[in-house]
Order: sequence, then C-alpha cells, then structure tokens
Amino acid sequence: MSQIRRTEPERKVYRPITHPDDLIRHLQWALCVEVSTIPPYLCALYSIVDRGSDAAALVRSVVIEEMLHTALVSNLSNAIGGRPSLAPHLVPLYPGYIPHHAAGGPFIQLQALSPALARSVFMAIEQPEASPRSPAEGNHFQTIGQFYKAIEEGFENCFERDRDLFKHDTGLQRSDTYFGGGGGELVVAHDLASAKRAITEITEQGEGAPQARPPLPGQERFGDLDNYGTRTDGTYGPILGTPWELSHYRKFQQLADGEVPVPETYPMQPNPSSDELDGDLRRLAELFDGCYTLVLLALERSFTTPATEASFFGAAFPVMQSVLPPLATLLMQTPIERKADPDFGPNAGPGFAHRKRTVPELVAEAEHLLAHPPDLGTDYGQAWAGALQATLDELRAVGAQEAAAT
Amino acid sequence: MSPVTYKIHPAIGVARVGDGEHFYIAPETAGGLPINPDGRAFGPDDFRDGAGLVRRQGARFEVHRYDGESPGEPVRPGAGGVARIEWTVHLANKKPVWYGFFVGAGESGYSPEHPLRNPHVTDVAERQRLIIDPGPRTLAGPGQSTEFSRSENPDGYPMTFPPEALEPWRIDSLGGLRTDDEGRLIVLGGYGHSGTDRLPPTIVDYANNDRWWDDTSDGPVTARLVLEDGTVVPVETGSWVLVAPPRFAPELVNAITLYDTMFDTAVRGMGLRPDIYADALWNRSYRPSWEADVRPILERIHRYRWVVAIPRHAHDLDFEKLGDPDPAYRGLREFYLGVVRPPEGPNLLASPDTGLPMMPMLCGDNCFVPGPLGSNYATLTRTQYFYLQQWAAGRFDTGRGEPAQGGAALDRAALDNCVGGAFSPGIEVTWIARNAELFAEPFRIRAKPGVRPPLSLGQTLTQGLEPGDLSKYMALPWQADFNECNSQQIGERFVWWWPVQRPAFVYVERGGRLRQVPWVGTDADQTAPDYVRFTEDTDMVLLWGKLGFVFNTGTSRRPRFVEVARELARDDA
Repeated sequence: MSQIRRTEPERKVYRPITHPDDLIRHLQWALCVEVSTIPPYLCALYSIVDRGSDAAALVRSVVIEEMLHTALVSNLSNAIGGRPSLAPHLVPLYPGYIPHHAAGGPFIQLQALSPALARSVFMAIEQPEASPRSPAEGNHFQTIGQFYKAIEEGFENCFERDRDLFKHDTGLQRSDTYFGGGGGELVVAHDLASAKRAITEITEQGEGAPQARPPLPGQERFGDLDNYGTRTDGTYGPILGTPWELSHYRKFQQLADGEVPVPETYPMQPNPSSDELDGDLRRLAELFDGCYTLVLLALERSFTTPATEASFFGAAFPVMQSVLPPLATLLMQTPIERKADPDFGPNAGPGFAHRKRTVPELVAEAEHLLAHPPDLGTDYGQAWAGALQATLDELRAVGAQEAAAT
Repeated sequence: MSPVTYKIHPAIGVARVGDGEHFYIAPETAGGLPINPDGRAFGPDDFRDGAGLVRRQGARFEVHRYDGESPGEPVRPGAGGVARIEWTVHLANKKPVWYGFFVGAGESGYSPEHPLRNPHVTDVAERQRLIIDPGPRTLAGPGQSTEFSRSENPDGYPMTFPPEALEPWRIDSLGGLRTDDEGRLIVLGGYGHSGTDRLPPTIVDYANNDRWWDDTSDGPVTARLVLEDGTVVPVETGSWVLVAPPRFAPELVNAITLYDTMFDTAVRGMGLRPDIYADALWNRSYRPSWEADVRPILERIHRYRWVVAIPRHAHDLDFEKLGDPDPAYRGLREFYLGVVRPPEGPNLLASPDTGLPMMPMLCGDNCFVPGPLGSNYATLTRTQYFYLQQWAAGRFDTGRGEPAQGGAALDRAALDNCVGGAFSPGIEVTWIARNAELFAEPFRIRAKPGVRPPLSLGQTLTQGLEPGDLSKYMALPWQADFNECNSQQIGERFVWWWPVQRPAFVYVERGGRLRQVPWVGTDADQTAPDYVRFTEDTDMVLLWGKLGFVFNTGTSRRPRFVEVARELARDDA
C-alpha cells in the first residue's frame, strides 16, 4: 500500500476495547498519531536559524518526547504480542489531517515556526481534554488524551478477561533508546501498572494534566530536581515541574503567546514537496526523503527485531542526529527559483515523504550532489559541501556496517 | 649498573585546612577516601574529631629509590643501608603581597597597572612583613613533630607573622610536620583561620581583601638520607606541598582535575608524550584507553548531580554501550562528543548545531565578560578532548591501558583530587598550572635554590618558586571565594563552579527518601542573596568548619552520596 493523504475528516463511532487484537490495532493507530507529529515539529525546529535559541530548545524538547512516545507505544504493543509497523500507508503525507482524529481536528502542515503555526496546528494537536471526566474515545477521537484513555481502559478490560495478557510479550521492548534531558523514562510494560505508567507519561507530557492551570508561586519545590525550565522567580533553572507547565500544549502556548519569542526562521515554502522541484534541487529533496525513510525503516526494525543495536544505534539514531538536520537546513537555504534571494525565498524544504532507497543508492546520490554544488556563492557552497559531506560520512558508516552484517 | 637516584613522592602533595588538631592523611587514589593514620577504614565519623572539629588533611610524602629501569620503591629507615631520613619543609603565605586576582588578567603577564593587594603598604620592608613566613622546619628522624608557629623557632629565623589581634581568628601557625615510623613525612596545614586587623571584619570582594590573612600556604619539601655509615645523601628530586581549602566531597572528582591540566601542560608544552602530541600535531592513530582515559571523564561529569542541581536524565549514561567499540555505537559516541564543549571555538552554553546544553555545566575561567569569544563555560583540556574525539571515532582500546605505578600513582592521585579549572581563581592553584615554566619536570614545581629571608615580593618562574609562590594567586581569604563561587548567573542560566570541593546542593535522607537540599543558604530564589551560600562571606569564615561532608553510603555501582557530619543546623523542617 502506498502513502495516504488524509483530506477528508472521518466519522466517529466508539466501542470500548475489549479484545487484545483490537487493543493492538489501537496501539498501531497511536503509533501513527505519534509519528505523524514528528515531521511538522522537526520541520519547525530545523527552520530556526539559531538552534541555541529558547524557541529551538522548546520545540526540540517536544520532538524528543514524541520520539519517546513512539517508543513507549511500541513497547505497549510488543508487551501484548503486537508488531508495530511504520509501513508507508501508516506514515502520513503532508499536509493532511492527523490520523484517526475526529472531524474538525488539526490539519497538520510542514511550515517554518511561527506563532500562528504554534497556535493553529501544534496547540491543536496537543489540545488537552475538556475535563478529567471527558469520555474515552477510540478511532475518530477528539483529543489525544481521550484516545489514550480508551487504550488505558482497553488494557484494563483485556487484562480483566485474560490475566495472561502480558505473557504474549514479544521480548522486543526496549528501555535504552531514549536520550531526552527533560525527564520521562522509557518504561517497559510488563503488567497493568507499568502499562498504565507508560500511558500516563505520554498524556502528561503531551497535553498535560487535565486540570490545566499554572502552579501557584511557592508551590514548586526546588529540592528534588527533575528538569530545567522557567522558575517562579523568573529565572531559568532546575525545577520540579508540574505536568501542566511541562506539557507540549503549554510549551507551544508560550510560542503562540510570544512568551518565548520566535526567532528568525528560514523562508521555507510551506508544505514542501520534491514534486515541485527539478534538477539537483529535486534530487537533494529526494535524498532527504530517502534518509528520513531510512530512519523510519531502521526505527521499525529496532522494535520488531532483536537487532536493535545495529538498527537503532547504528542507523536510526546517527542519521537522525547528523544527516536529517544538515540536509533539511540546506534545503531551507536554497531558493526554489534559482535567481531568488535565499534570504527572502521561497526556499525549498524537507517533504518527509516515504521514499525507500538502499544505503548505496543514497551514498551515490550524496556523492553526485557533493560534486555538483549550485552556483549560489561561496557561503552557500560551504553550506552545501558541509551538509553533504556530513551526510556522506554518516551514510558510508551505516553502509559499511550493513555490509559487515551480511 | 645505572646510578641510583631518589625522588620524593607525591610530586605535589596536598594538605587541607581543618579547625581541629587531629588529622587524617590525603587520599592516595583519585576520588578515594582519606586515610586514617591508625589504618582503620575511613567512615563518615572520621571527618571530625571527638570534639566535632574538622580534622586537617595531612599530605604524606615518601622517598622512592630508582635503580635504572625499575619502577622505584619506597625507602624505609633501617633497610637498604638507610639509617634515617631528614625532612625539611618551608611553608609561607604570600597572598597579601601579590597582585590582586582579576579574571582574565595575569596569565600571560601582569600589566603595569594591575593592582597589588594591600596597595596602601608601599614600603618594601613593610610589605615583606605582610608575608606569613615562619621559616623552614626540619625533622631528623621518625616519630617526631614540629610546628610552623610563632612560638616555635628552632633556628632563630626572622619569622614574619600578621598582627596578633586579628578578628575573627588569629593566625599563630601555618601548620606542622610529623614523621611516622616508616620514615614518611606528614605535612599539616593551618586551621582554616582567617582574620583581619580592621574591625569589624568585613569582606568586600570574592578574591582580594586588604588587611586580611588566611593560613593556607605552600612550599618546598626536601629530604636527606642519612646512611648507616654516616654518609648523607641529598634527595635530588624534591616535592612541593600545597595547603588548600577543604574538599567536602572527597569521593567525587572534578571533570577537569589538576592532573588533567598539568598533564595537558606537559603533553603540549614539555614533550611528555610524543606518542600523543609531537611537533604541534596530534597523533590521530593514538588509541586512548576507555577505562583509564575516557570513561572517567564521562563518569565524573555524570556524578556532578550529587552535589549540584542538574536534571537526572540528561546525564544518565549507559557505560556498557559507550565502552563498546562496535561501529553500531558510533552514533551514540558522536552524540556524546557533540554534547561536550570543545576547548576551541566559540565558548557557548548550548551546542550551536543541536542547541543541546553542553557538558560540563560549569563556569569557565572568565564568567564576567559575556560573549562567545570569552571563556564563560568550562571546557575539558585539549588532551582530554582529543581522547574523546579518538573514542568517538572508534579509535580506542577497551582495556585499562597502563595505569601509573608506585610514585607516579601517588603523584597522579594527589593532583586528581584537585580542581584543574575553572581558574577564577580556583580552589588549590590557578592558571599558573598551565604554564610549562612552572615545572622542573612534568608535575614537579621548579624550586628556587638558596631561598633566604626575607622572601621576595616578586617572582621569576624560570628561577623557580619560593615558599608561598604557588598559593599566593588564590582568593584572600579563601572563604570569600568559597562562599561566593557556588553558582553563577550567565545570561539567564545558572552554572556551577567547583561543586566537588564546594557542593551547591547535597542529598539528605528524609523518611527513607533522598532529598536534595542546598548545602548552604536557600534554594527557592536563584536571585536571592543567600541562594546556596551565606549572605555574608564572613559567615563562611566563621562557619565553614560546621558544614557537612558528602560520603557514599551506597556501593560503587549504586552510589548514594549523602551529606554526613554536618554540625550546622539546617532550617528545612
């Protein structure tokens, strides 16, 4: 099956989850939802010129936690015998509606970071449920929190009926693939309590506690310190954050409300696609897609096969770290029209399309591009060479490792 | 047969002040516990004596005999034809006559307008009287003792001491010497007494306070062997003793130790390791050892969280994977290299590539001048960073390498328990440690020959150091810097100074759970004048001896570094 662009809202019917197969199906949907948020957040992050800015730190912390959620959902699925998948038809194409959301849900777009994007798209994705008593909702959910409520109830129901629910564990859960600095833990689900802990972590980090209000001054203690953030004394430092202030919703609200200023961004064409490009620029955009797909496939392998070492640490993690950011930035520095000013754009951008290529194919593409820099001045030439050389080095290392494994 | 030579080890011994008469001996491993003189295992009750006073840390020295290629062995009286060992030490404190400490100034020479301390005293003879110089002391055999005090002056040396009526503490001694039955020397420092003759005692600056004295010091340690036949053999390679402020978390080690800094100086400035660095080029095929060279750096940084407020998860390291040279972990190693601040290039809190805050989360030499061209944040030494680069690239060995043996191990351990940066000014010594001219050979201070009273007001490194020339750069009194330098606001972020000597936060056990509390002061408001410090530096002068030590009550694999032996009440009910 190929990738699907969701341009029509879906209708809503909710039945509680009572069968493990249905629970696994919902966890797969949850995985699609979590994965679908990563490209728009990454795109916003890459669009920020000063990666050391507060806004960048804020968006990055969200992206890292979404990756944690992806891993947590995969663990939950593996815990009860599921096989999480990132097949092309499960990975959205942008722009499009968030998968499995009810009508009226956020229309996800790939754009440079702006207060408007933070409000209309990102806050909408992370919208907290209206009340802690909001009902559980399965497919076509109103809020992600309600969807996870359905999953949590599903675990309770299934465990009620089958005390051996967690005996179907595939043995492929991971606890070592998370490197976030903002708190949170990659929970391995081995019973109902740990499964619920994993779910709580996802919802609290995402939408925050249902009763969303700022903590009163003096309510925070600075003793047992869990993360860095803005403290009630106005300074930045270690805090024992409340779920509310650390939630993705609250973080995006700070960007939307201007509490955290949005710094200069690259003038990227919204919702970029390689289809709109030609020549080497198109090849560059497709190289990005190919590397993104490489990460997806390696990630999928890392929670469906025992070979996590090679696929996560050897491929997904380093490509995510040292290939996607420079390639995305390079695209965002490149005007679509050759004669346009790159400071004004519109510039190209990462399309995050599913485009499967072998590592040798990607290496060959990177080599070709490295040897053919467009004539856009010395600074640009250096950016081009730097990004492609870093890409090439990393892809070669991944390739060498794959070759050694076979 | 090659000639027999003798050396004193450690090359630099570190004593620390304590307000009690009793003492323990300096740890002889990096991050090791001090050593009880009676040989008992060191426990949390051993930081203080029976009266609750802080025991002084003695620096223990021994003479090693080298015969050609052999690693050398300690010389013991009564064995190998040696009847006894005569030890001589000369301690002095020159802080009141040296230049003031100001960040970013002096390392490459003081400017003509650089202010001196106590500038109101201009007469040379009067300035010389500001030096605390009790003169040298000698112990001629085992089981003896002497004091660097006002009242003890065996040779009629023209001693200089500060006025007797100092407040809040008078200074009557810089410490003393002891010899044990094995022919070893133990140098004891002062009592952590600092005082001024201008009342009421007021401290106006973190580093420079006129008319103040403290009882830290330093000086050369020399020895002569008296053989059974009466021949006297001078030990040609002497050592240096440094009396420093206390170290409140002895089992935690600074990311950049004084050994690392002096090793880097020797590698890059003295040709110590041509296999690592020669002709100004790094040897890219050099393979550092994971266990000996790389892991300690990551582990020390990892453990800072026991003494400062650092979020837990950012620093959770999986050492098994990090030490595995499998190419599959290359991405992981590069990730960690990417979050270590490079010594070269813009000096930033966060990585310009990823935006992630970089390690170590500590102040650099110069926190006061903002901007990426300064050195706001601490960096590893270039040699340490080179090790990490080689490791990230997969060019490393998994073994322990060749650990230092015998005297070299003593040299290293003493320095590994000191701060190797940031030098602003530091705890034990300052940026002078980065100057190759300081050394006669790697790790050994060049001693000035034929020192005579009165001690010099100046200094020429190539001629060697006089007593007091190593510690004189440091804050006066040391308690001022010790109080103020806990955390530092740079921009809107707060970073830490030297938390393993001077903790900012400590863990205490409350109701079976560990809770992190400020070591001194309060923590609710980072901008408050008592944020993890005393509001007044003079309180540190009065109360440092009542603060708690940090001690591992867990195991080495599952450590619990908690506060013990605290005598000062804490308002945290």
